[in-house]
Order: sequence, then structure tokens, then C-alpha cells
Amino acid sequence: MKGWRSRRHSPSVTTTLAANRLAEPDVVLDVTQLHDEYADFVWRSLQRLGVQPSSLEDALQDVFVVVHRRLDTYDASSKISTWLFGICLRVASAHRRRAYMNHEQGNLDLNEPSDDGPLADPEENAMRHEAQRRLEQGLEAMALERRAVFVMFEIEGMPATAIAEILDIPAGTVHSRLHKARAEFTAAIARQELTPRVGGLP
Amino acid sequence: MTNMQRWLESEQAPQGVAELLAAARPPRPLDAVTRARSRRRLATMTALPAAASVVFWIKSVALGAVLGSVVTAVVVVPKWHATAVPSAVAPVTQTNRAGRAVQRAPEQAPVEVVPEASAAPSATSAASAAPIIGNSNRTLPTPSEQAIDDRLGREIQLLERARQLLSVDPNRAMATLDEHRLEFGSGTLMLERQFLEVEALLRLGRRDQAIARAADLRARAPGSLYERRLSHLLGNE
Repeated sequence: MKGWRSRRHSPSVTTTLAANRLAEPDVVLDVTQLHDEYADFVWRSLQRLGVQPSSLEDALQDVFVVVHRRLDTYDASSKISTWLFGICLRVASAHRRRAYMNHEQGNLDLNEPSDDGPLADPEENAMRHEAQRRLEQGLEAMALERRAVFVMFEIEGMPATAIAEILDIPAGTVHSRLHKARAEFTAAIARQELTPRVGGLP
Repeated sequence: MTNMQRWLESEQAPQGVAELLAAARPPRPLDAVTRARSRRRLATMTALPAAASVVFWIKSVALGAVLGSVVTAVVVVPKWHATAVPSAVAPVTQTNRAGRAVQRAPEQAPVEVVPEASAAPSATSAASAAPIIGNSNRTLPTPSEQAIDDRLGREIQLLERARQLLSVDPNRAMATLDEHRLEFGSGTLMLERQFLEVEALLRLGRRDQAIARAADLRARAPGSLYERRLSHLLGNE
């Protein structure tokens, strides 16, 4: 699991605001403060939930618009990160529906700059894109909650305990979601192999 | 529950899966520019409601008054007229002038007609009553029609506000358009919102995003008026 801490979302799960809120129920949460503390967490969560790079900024804004409207409904019974993640789920779901309506589902945004830097070999580049496309299709086959767990565990390398803490669910639930997600992913990849893509690479 | 190992580390991954996972890009971090832009838009949005709520309150009071007048004119007055002055209609419907008065009658009706109930109806009072009786056959909108109207009205309201903000404060315009997108998604006026987004992005100096948004809009509405409006806005890009 090494390395996940360096990519870990900021802030940590137990945050200043959340701590204040728990300690003093009268503390008024301010949406811009929440943005300062949690924008990165929301940004990453939206990616984990499959929001395409071209829609990420809009989705981020959508999440905080909802936060702004619903802030008075937040109670300290759950962690702020969990509450925010729930909002991310709904926003990502809406974006997913919209992308489906626009026939964008499963299409990787290949114009998005790669974090890996330019690849010298065009063939290797093409293969990588193809792998990313298939991976994305496999992820699309999962329910959003399971997708998030799968991405955090398998791609980001986060330990199950950290995932459980973020989502505010028992570690056992993380394992069961992961188990189902793996089965769904494997089945989706197997289906891809049975139905080769018409037209080759994008 | 035993500890699970990542597929990439355990070598138990099904065939081909490890290669796909190895190609995955982990979520990229939020860059400072996007973060600052998002925060600015959010701050603008949070500043809006206090002023907007007063405007909406005034508008809703005005809307309530107009609706009350219409209901009174359409439902109450015809009933009163049917019982009190059944013969007052015929002479009035002869002139076009009376017909022109029709359009203003609903607002005036509760004020003018009710006090005249005790007096004998004059030519002018009959003139204002005539169209009301004429309208009594009109059906009131059903609740679902009303809901659609309300929804569309709200869409128009948001987009109009965004349009007005475009030239003075494109950030706030963008925040208002975000609000529309969140509330209505692919609502009736989605294309108009997209067009306004293109303009707002241009005014914010985010030309690349504006061009991408314009391409999306063109794809959604090929051959539409939006194509011409976009060409006017962006040139040939």
C-alpha cells in the first residue's frame, strides 16, 4: 500500500471544521470554508465516481451549490466527508445520466493531458489509450458506490481501513463491496473480449 | 474478514486485468487555478441569495396579486354577472373598442366591478364586464400545466438573470448558469444555457473551454439558430 499517502486527498478525514462542528454544535459552517478544506477531496471523489475530465469542473461546482443549499440539513451524526461523498454520488450520477443521454458514456477524454508525460512510442501510446478505454468500460459496469471503493483500493492503493473511514462504513462492507466490484469488473472485461470493438482504436 | 490484497500486488488478478489496472491514471489533483476559479464562483453565488430573495419576494407578491385578480375575474365575476346583470352583455359586444378593453380587464376587474354591483350597470362597466364574461368559457390551467409553467418561468428567470450579469460580472453569470444546470439539467432551455455559458467563458478569457462548449452545442443542435449565433460570437472556430 505504499505511496497512497503521498496521493492522499487533503484534508485528512478528521478535519478542523468537522472537529469544530462536533465539539461545538453551534459553530456555523460556511460553504467557502468547506470549499477550502474539501475541494480536493470532492475533486478526487468525482473522478473516482467516473465523472469525465471535461465535466469535472462543472461537477465540482454542482457539488458545492448543493452544499450551499443543504448545509443547514447537515448534522454531526456523520462525518462531513461522508456527507460530501453522498452529494458527490448524486452529482456524479446525474452527470453519468447526462453523458449517457449524449452518448458520451465510456468515451475517454483523450485530449486530456496525460499525467505520465509524452510517450515516445506512438504504438505504446495507442495501447495505453486502449487499455484505459477498456478499464473505463469495466468501471462503468459497476454501481457508483462499488466503483468508488474499487478505484480507491485497486487504483489508488488505499488501505481498506482508510476507505472505511472516508465512507463511514465498516471495513467488512468495504471488503464486500470490493468483492462484488471485482466480480463485476471481471465480467465486464470478459464481455469486452467476446465482443471485439468495431473499427479498431479511436 | 481476511485482509485483501490489491490485484496488482497479489498476482491473483484474472488474466489481462492487471495490465488494465497498470494503465490506470489515478485521480489527478485539483490545480490551483481551477480551485481559485471554483471558489470565486462559489463566493459570488453565496452573495446572491440575500439580494435575490428580496427581489423574489417582491415578485412573488406581485405575482400573487395578479393571479388573485385573474381568479376573481374569471371565476367570481361571471357568477355575479350571471345572477345580477344577465342582460348587460349584448349591447357591449358590438364595438371593437370594447374588445380592446379585454386585455386589461383582469387586473382592473376586482377594483372596478365589485363596487358597481349595487349600482345600475353603465355602458363602461358593461364594457369591462363583457370580455370577462367572454373569458368565462376559458378553462383554467390544470395543476400539471401550472407546474410546467412555473418550471419554465423559473428557467427563464435564471437565464435572464445570467444574461443581465454577463456584461457586468461574468463570474456571477457563470454561477447563475451553474445553478440552472443543477436545477434543470437538460431542461427546456438547456441549449440557451449552453450558449450563455459559451459567452460567459469567452468573457472570462477561457476561450478554449468556450470553443469546446460551443462544439458541444453545435453537435446538439446542428443547423439551428445557435450555429449562427455561435459563428457570430466565435468567428469560424
